[in-house]
Amino acid sequence: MFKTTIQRRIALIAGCAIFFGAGAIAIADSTDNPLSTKPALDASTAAPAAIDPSIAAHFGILRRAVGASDAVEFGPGMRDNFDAQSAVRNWGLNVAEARRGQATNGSQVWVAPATNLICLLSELPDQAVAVPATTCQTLTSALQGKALLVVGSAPKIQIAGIVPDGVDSVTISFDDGSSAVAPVQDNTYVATVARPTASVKFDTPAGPVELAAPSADGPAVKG
Amino acid sequence: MAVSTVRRRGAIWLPLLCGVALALFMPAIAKASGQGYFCPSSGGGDIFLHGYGQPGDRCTQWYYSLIHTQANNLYSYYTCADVKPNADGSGGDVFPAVCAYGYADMPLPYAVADYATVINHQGAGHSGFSGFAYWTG
Repeated sequence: MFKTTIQRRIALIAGCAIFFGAGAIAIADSTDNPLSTKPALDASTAAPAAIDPSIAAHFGILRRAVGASDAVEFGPGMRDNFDAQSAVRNWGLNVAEARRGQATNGSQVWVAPATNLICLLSELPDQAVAVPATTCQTLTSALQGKALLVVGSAPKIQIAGIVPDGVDSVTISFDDGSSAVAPVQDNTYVATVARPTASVKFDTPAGPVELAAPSADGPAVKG
Repeated sequence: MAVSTVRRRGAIWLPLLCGVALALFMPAIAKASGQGYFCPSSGGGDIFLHGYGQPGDRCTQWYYSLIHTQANNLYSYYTCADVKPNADGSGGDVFPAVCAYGYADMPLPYAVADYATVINHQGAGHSGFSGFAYWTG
C-alpha cells in the first residue's frame, strides 16, 4: 500500500495526528452532558473586581472604608481552599475589598464585590463543620434578597443574608407557619434557628420583598 | 545521500508532530480530571454527583472540594448542596447542607473520596439549569 519510505512516514504521521486528535476530542466531549449549558465564566481568568458603584449605591456597607477588622478570616486550612478553588477564581471575588458584616454567636459574614456581583461570605461555626459558604448575586437578585445562605438542618440551621439599605430587620418564616425576626446590621443578618426555614421577608422603601429560603429539610420551592 | 537526508527529516518531524498532538491532548485530560458539568434529565428531584471523573470512570482518590452551582443568565435557581457518605446518595449528611440561589460555592474542608454530592433543587423547575463541579485530590 505504501511503497516508499516517505509514503510510510507520511501515513505514520497522519495516523499519529488522527489518533491523538480524536482522543482529545473524545475526552473533552465525554465531560459535557449534551443537555447542559456550559457556564459562561472561565474558572481561571477572573481578576479581582472593583466595587461596582451601581451596586454600592444600594448597599452602604460597600461605601464605607475597609478597616483592619474587616479581614476575612476562616478556620485552619479553609482559606487556602477558598482562595484556590472558589469564587475568587470564578467570579473575581475581591476578598481585599470585603467588609465584615454582622457577627452573632461566633458566626461571621462579609460582603465583598465580584465582577458585576455582590457576594456574601460566611463562616458559620455553630455547625459540626464550619462551612465557609459563599453566594454571589447580581444587583437585581441582591435587591430581591437572594444573596442569602441557609446552612444545616433542624435543629441547627443558620441563615445569613444581605439586604439593601433601609432594611432594619428580616422576618424568617418556618415550615410550621411560625416566624422569627432577625435584626439587620451593616446590610447583613445572621440567625440560628431550630426549625426548618421556609422564607425570608423584609420591607424596603420600594415595597415588601418575600422570597423562598427553605433549608435542605424544609418545604419544597414550587415552580 | 538523498535517502539519508529524508530519513533525518522524518526523524525530526515524527516526534515533533506527535508532540504537538500530545500538547493538544493533555489539556483535555486535565479538564476531564478537574471539573465536570451536570444537568438534570428532567424536572424535580435530586442530582447525584458520584465520584466519577467522567462517565464510566469511577474515581477513588479525588474528592469533591467545591460545589459550584451556577444558573444561566435568565434564571436564578435555589439549590441545596449536600454531601452523603455513600455513592448512591444515601446516609446522613456528612457536612451541613448549604442552600442558596445560583452562584454559590461550598468548599469542603477535607477529602470525601467515594462520597456522593447531592444537588437538590427542592422541586424547582430545571429548564435551562446547568451545574459545574470541581474535584481535586
